[in-house]
Amino acid sequence: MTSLLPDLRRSHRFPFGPFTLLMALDVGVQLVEKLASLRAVGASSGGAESGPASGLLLSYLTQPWVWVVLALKIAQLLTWTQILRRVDISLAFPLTALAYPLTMLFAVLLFHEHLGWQIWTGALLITAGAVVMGKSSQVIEADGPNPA
Amino acid sequence: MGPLQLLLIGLCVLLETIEQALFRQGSAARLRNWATGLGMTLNIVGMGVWLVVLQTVQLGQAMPLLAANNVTVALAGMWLFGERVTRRRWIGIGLITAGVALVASESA
Repeated sequence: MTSLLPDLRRSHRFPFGPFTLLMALDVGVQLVEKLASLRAVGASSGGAESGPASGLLLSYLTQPWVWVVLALKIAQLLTWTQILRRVDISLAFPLTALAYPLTMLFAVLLFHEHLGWQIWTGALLITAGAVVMGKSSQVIEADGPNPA
Repeated sequence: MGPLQLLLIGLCVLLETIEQALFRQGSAARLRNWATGLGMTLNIVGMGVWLVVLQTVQLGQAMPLLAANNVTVALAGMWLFGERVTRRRWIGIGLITAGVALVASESA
């Protein structure tokens, strides 16, 4: 591979902007799918059509929300690769689990969903884990400027 | 959940790990490169395997096992890309993995 870009991972700064965008896109996908499911329930009050799988796929592809989700996922991939240029994947990948508590927040605020203790405990653990990881603050753990 | 289902879920975890390693590899190069393209392909393959799993296993039983990806991707970063995963980072990964498993187990 010849066309290597400069390794930004040396900058030792966590890319908060791109990461926030990634989380927003992640939550966005969930919200669009939720809204689509609500609309589908309202539209097909007579019960779901039970056609063959190919018919199901075709009916999906004609839904505008599917294309919105696809566009969001492409944006997600682009953002994700930008993040990976600057941060260890062993740090960035587990941190993406923050999308769970963030999505829960919207589920409660927008859709007034009732969540069980198990989900709240899980969200708490994820947040605690992210805080623990974030506190090490070193984007690249090796060759940091101040090895304590 | 039988051994075949477990094997398929394991395959999903493996595919996601390879996919992430490919994205990590591809991120160092220009946007369009073989690694990122292959990663996207594996993503689609993984979705197919996942749909097969969900035909026989309940979502709330299968999904917590995917939390293992937090560990496997960190291992990939360590072994394939020489990332140094400190003890503090492992503790964070452990908490997040447990949390994801808990959240996912109730999404039945």
